[in-house]
Amino acid sequence: MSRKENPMHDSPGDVTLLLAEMKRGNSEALPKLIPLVYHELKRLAAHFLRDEREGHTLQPTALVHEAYLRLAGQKAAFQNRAQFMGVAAQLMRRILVDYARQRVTAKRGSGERPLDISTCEIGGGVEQSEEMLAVDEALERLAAMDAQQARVVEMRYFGGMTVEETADALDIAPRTVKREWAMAKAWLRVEISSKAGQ
Amino acid sequence: MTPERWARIKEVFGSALELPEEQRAAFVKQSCGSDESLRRQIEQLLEAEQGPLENPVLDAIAQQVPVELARGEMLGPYRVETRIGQGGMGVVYRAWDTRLDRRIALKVLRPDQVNDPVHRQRLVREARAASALIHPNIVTVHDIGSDRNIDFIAMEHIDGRPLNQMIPAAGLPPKQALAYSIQIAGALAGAHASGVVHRDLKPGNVMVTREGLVKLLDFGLARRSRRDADGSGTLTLNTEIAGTPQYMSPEQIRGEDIDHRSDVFAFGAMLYRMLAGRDLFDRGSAVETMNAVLTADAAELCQNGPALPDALESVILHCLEKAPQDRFQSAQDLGYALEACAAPMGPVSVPAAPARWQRHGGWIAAILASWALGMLLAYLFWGGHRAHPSVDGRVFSQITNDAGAELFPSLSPDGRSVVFAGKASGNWDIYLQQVGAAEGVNLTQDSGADETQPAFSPDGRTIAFRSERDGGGIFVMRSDGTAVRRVTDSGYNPAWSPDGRQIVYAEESITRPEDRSGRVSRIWVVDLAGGRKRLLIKDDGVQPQWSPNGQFIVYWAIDLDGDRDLWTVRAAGGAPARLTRDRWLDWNPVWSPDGNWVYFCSNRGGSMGIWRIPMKESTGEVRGAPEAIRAPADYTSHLSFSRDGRHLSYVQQSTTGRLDVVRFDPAREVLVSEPKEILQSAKGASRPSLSPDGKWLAYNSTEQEECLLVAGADGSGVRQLTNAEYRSRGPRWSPDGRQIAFFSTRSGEWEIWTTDPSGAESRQLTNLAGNNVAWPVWSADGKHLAYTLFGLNTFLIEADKAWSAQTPEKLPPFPDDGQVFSAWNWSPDGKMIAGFLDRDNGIAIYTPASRSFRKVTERGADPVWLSDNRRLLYLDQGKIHLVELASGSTRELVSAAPEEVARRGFAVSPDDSRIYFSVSTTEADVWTVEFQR
Repeated sequence: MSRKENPMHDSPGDVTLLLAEMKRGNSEALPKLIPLVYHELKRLAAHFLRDEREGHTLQPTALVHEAYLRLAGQKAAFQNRAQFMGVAAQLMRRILVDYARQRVTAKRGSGERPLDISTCEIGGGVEQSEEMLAVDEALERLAAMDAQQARVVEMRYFGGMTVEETADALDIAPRTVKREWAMAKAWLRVEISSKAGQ
Repeated sequence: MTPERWARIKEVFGSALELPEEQRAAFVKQSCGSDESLRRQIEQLLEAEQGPLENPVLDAIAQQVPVELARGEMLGPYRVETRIGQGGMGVVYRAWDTRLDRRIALKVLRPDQVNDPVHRQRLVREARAASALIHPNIVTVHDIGSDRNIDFIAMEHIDGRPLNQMIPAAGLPPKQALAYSIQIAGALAGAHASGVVHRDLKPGNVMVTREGLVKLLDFGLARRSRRDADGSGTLTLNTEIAGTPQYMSPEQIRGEDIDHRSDVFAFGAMLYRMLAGRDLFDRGSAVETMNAVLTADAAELCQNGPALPDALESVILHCLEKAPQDRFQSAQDLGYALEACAAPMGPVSVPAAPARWQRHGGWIAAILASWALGMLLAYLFWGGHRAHPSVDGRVFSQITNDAGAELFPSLSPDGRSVVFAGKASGNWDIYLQQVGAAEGVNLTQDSGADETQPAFSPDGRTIAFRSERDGGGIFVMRSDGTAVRRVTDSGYNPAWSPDGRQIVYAEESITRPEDRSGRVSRIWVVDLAGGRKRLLIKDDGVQPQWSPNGQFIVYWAIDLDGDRDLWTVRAAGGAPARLTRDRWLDWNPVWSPDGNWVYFCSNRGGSMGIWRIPMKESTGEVRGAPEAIRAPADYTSHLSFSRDGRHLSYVQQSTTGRLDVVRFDPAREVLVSEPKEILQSAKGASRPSLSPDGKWLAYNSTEQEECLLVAGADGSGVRQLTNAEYRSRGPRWSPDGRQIAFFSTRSGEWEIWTTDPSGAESRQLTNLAGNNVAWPVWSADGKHLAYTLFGLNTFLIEADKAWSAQTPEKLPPFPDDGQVFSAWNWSPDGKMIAGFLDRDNGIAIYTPASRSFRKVTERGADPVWLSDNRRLLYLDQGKIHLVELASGSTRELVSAAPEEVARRGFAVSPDDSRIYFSVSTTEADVWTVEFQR
């Protein structure tokens, strides 16, 4: 993405406003919010890739939190945080799956990494990438049967959100999140292992 | 599956999960009744319910590999036009640089040339060195990069023919051969002066334009390339020897180390070919040809060939001496000899500069001047002199010469004095020093806080700077250090607007760009009068600087691909525009006072040097490609101009790693000696590990190349264990002292390895192919090793098994969400593993017997056991601390202030009596160069 496509916004307040609008049920808020959040997450991911002092990991949780602080501002009220994270989890899924797909393709394509002089040391190899892609695919199937459960997985797995955060974002009880998560995990495990066995 | 059925499964599964485990089976059976398949599905889910999924972790790299490039296809910023040739290294395309709107040649490296990581690293290093060469007779390498997993070299496009196609059977007329060879000798002299040897000089690597201008191709790239299939009657060798036998020197054929005099030999063979129309040593087959190079008497061969002008023949024979020391000792001498040959022939048509040169005469002169400047700088630094009236109207002065670092020089507008940050007083202060004076005046002596990053205002009366006082921020003071006042409560690297009314600054401080954290920094502009702030760059930006006309701000940033490039933005705000786009680290931009250049620091030349890019200041547009201002030698940074552009100040840096030892009394928990240096190295020295008998120390070099070394515990007898061609880290001595475990990129990806202490026998333990394994930790009995998968967890394997026979045991996830436990040290009694949490978020202990964790501290990393199994030493904020497990009480033990103990940088002797720790010190001095006109 070039800077030209970069959605400009003047102040962190934009995101706060959009989140409030979204909570109020304004359906125009989400499409405006998504490019802002996506761009920010992608930017943060790029930065993590350049942290050269030690091999660092990219924790989706940390990324999402940092994106929130940057977009909504340090002093922003935390009431809209769950909405934000719900959106962010979805986008994080896209970013992570993109990376995973690249990684797996690269490995299968040539067995080689490109000539990058400053080697990045980001955790996660082909195995994790393959798992991630499998989860992504299975999640598509799950969403067709059970949208709420799929959202729970998205937030927990791709967004790194806690049970409480997920419950807040979906406006359901934490206990429900736990149940959905337990079943989704079991189902995904069966799905992925049966697929791997084929 | 239908949603209805799913809902049914969900209902039964959910209810079953609420029940105690032993009741679930009965409940499911009852609920499902006769629906066997429903029951099986639910049982399967219940079975699978145990155990968490992995957290996904991000992965950096990369993409697919197309085989051939089609017309119109993009590779990085280059659009492929047509295939123009095939060389030993790969296919060459004519392409268009869409970024700078110019034609280039794009050499796409063959996968087999680059898929061996060792080979590739070497290739890259060579290519980087070659890319720094700027000479009218050398094809300029613009860019070495990679896109979609395709490695490529972008270079100047030459509209010409290779020399081998221009030599008629009877040879070239002597005058023409001389015209070419004088240019070739000049190019070699230039390259050799900066330490680059061509290694595969032959007519096929010499391009000649229609105007007769010679351009040498492929500098330094031939080294150990495995094949050469350019179809010019040369051949393929399967060995490490590479080259073209007709033009290879005897030492090259023997596989010995070669230097610039090997190029002199090749030059002689090539000159013969030009004059005689055939190769002197050619025998039809490679083996016979090589034999002839080694043994045949060149003078005798010449006698039997066509008659050549005597003077030229003697030059050729002097080049073709078998022993390097008998040949011309430099390409420059060779050039003089050729010019002497040329003199009696009348004017030799060394071509008029081609049209481009004539149009840009000043530009070429500037390049040649900067080449000379580079050479001179290199000479001066090596010479170690202090003040240097110099040739060519330039005067270099070393301004500071104190131990430690002097950083962030800012020249006064008149160029007569410089302010900089120094640490002579114990903390960072701002010093003002006259150019030529022996020492500076401390302007911020009264402040106990650190002051750095000073910047002279355009009128020279005021200095803006960063201070840590009172919560930190940007301050201004008069140039005599008085009238200090706060401007902002945050920000770093302040720079003035040309009218002196505003200051631009960034949220993140930059001293060395490699040290950037994972954070995003914004750029702000503040009015000095009212203190009003406005956000200029919200995405990312550091080290902003104003253009002389006040219209633009130049800065650098990390983009969405993770590349570090230069950008500009209108000072009034708006969309940023790129100046550079490549994999190199471009940073520290400053606009020259005449507005025509942005000078910056970049590692594109192989080391961190000064570069500049031509600019059109009125529009902020780039006018051309970056050029090197000096030959790569050291680490150069922190540029600043005087107002008239005649003085440029900069910092010359080098980092030294040091290992110290301090004696420790574990009973009283006190240090019983002063720290003593045991060794130091310009390559860095960190991650120490003691042999079990306490006599030997294994450690890591950290700067530029990372390899393992072993020394006596007193620092004597240093020897290198691993090759610098790949990176190795984190040596750990096994409990029996017979092996050292480490992790290394030797097989291409980070894997765990062991070696015997001589370095002779090494073994790869893991084969996780890209899972980025790190930090091996021995169990107390030496039977197991723990290792970390970045971002994932710690795993245990058996030390003596082959990877195929291993079943890595994964530790349970750390109970805190999102935290990853990295094992660091196994307790001497074998019962516990101490480790740390991500981003040094504290120390935790894992107990294998109970598979449980216990958090010990909230901060710090790198825990190391004392032999009582009850206390740990660990690192926090650059200091070594001690924690007692029972009470949880902690205290500071070792401080290396004003420096810091390096991360992953300490070890304890087996008897607890000595602590070895690593400190790195940066030596950095301020220099200026004056351009006299």
